[in-house]
Amino acid sequence: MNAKITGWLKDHGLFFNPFEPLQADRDTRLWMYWVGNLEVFQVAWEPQAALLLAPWGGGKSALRARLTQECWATPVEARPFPLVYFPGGLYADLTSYLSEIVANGTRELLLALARHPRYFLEASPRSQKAFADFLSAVLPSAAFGLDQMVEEGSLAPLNRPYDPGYDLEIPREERGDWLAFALALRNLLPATVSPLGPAAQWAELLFWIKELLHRPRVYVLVDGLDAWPDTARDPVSLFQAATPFLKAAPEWAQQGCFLKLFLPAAIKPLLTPELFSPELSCGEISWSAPLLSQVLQRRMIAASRGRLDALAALAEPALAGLDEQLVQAVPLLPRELLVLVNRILETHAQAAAPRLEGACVAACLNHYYEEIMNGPYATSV
Amino acid sequence: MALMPLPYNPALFVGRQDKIDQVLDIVTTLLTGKAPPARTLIFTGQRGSGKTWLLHHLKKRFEDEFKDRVRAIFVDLEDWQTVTEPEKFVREVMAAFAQQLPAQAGQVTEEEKFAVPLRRWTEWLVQDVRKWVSQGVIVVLLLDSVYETAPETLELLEQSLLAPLAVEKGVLILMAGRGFPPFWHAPELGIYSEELKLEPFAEADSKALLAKASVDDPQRIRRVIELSGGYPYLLWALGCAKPEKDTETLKAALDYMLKPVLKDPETWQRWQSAAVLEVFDEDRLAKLSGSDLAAAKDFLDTLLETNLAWYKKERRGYVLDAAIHQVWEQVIRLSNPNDWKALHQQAAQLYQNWAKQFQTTAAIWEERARYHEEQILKEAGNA
Repeated sequence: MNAKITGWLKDHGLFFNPFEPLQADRDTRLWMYWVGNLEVFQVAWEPQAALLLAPWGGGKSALRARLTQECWATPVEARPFPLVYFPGGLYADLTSYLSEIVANGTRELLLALARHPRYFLEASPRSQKAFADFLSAVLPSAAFGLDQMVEEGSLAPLNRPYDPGYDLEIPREERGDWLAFALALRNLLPATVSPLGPAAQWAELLFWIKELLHRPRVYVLVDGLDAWPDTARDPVSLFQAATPFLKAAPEWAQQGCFLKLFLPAAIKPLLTPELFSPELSCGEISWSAPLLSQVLQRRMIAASRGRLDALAALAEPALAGLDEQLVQAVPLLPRELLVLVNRILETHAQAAAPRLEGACVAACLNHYYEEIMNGPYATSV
Repeated sequence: MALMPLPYNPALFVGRQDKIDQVLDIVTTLLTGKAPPARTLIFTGQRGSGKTWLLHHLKKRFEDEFKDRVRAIFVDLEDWQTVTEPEKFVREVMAAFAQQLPAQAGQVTEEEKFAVPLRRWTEWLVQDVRKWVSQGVIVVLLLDSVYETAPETLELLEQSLLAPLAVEKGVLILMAGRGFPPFWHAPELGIYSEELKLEPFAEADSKALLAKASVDDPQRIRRVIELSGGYPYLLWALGCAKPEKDTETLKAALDYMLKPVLKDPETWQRWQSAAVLEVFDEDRLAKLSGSDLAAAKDFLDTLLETNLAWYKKERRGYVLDAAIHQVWEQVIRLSNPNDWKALHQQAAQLYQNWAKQFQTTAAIWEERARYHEEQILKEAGNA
């Protein structure tokens, strides 16, 4: 089915299907067509702790993925280091979270070094050895990962577990060095190492990010706290889960590390004014019909390399107002819009007509309305 | 008669005062050590709207007003359009930039130009820029023909030159381009940049430009403004030509503007409905030209591939580059008035039929039909 849709879109001048990825953090092209409130992006981008709120299906993960992508834009030495963290559980205190954060961050640091091996290769032998000791203490599996990388001849073993939303290629000029890096680091890894406590590991991780990657600051992007049964629909539990991060934020800021906590907007009533300070800001993503229109428009522009800016370009004259019609048909949530468009494309692909037709769109809209009327609009993600 | 691009001449420069003031204000802000809202500005506009002239004029204004406090570097990417290999292209551009920044990077030899790793060259350039900035000098990069450059090449240029410069506080980047903007990775070039569109001249600036061509007869001025649509290039070409040569001048302008894509005159004769329709697609082109749909789609694809047309959501169809549309329709109207009228009549009829056939969008098609009917009435009134 996907091949049919892609083939039809290609006939109409689209180089890929821009509506297919429903999960923002799996969309390698998100940076081309991300739509959001620029004020909220500014809050996310500035070097201070921030709460970033959005309704469910309203672009929270997209903002997080976009921010991460910006942090990897050239020149990377001028950008914050994005430490993306999806909690592996819900904990009462920061120490338990910290172990996971450090492990995540160390893997990301290792990945960054593998993509830009000169950072490690140009460091002093003493620094290289010290880093290898740290790596071994935090990631006992590092040796295995490096061995796999050497064996497979690629970064894939390191890259696989990560946020697949951005495609990190080794810069062409550095491809010759990554094997040297992997072998050098592998040889330096000690057989045994003294364990470090979470706080010491955290401080050392921050040190190595700045020392080896020369990044000016670190952003800890915490997402997915609302993905647990306890927190999914209970803002009170969610707030309790978020509290350790909020308490840690001021100290982190002094270390040049800034919390970016992505939460559903449902938590807003629990955020009292006393919580906020000049050191903690808040941005809330909100959607309007014009902004939602841009979701369609920018995706069409990206996929057609500027030639088309509306879905109506693929439709018969009776559907000249198709884009506006679809925006009005859904709640003000981009995910709902993408789900509806995907259904229309799937239905159209089965009909195999040259252009989108009114009957096909009408049928999809009726089906969509029935789903809304009969229950919560459960989007298949 | 053949028209050529007009080299920048400061004595002939007119208008764009708001854009010039905005840029000079930004430079002044940078010289005081403050941060303006955007340090990347992008001038966009149709063919002949004066983008290149504006960049040249800004460079001259920097030199006149700020003297040695601003180092302005002009690079036209069109100079290397025949270089298809992205890395070679980027190295040439970086060499051109470095030559105007006489320092370490500017002393790269011809052999080194292609031997030094790109990232090393980037480091040198950034170091040189920082040296200038540390001396209180603002570095301005004026980059022309940006949008017309291949995406893969632009991406490498962004990584190697533009993004590293864009993050430097003492640097201002001014770009000019026509067509579809590239997807920039760096927020300084994308989210935090500002696009400034160069519209056709309003009446006052049109008159000022025509005065420089010694056109002062009010009737002639009105005629030239009507034919040119206010596009500076066309204003000047028509202003310098004799009135009896208007059609010839417009044809020469059309030849020049379509030169990159002109296959043969018959092609453009066949598809002149594109100029009259104002908004079109392959269906409409096919119907008005009496051609089959496949041929119409091929022609439309040609227009799209060469950035001469694109789909506009609010227009409900494809539109031509506005300057080309202006000239092309005028050429048809003047040299083949019967064809011009017939095409408008056919277009009106087409839309009236669509209004009946597609009732849910009837209002859109009725409005289009009215537009074409009004064009015919207006022409009859003028006659």
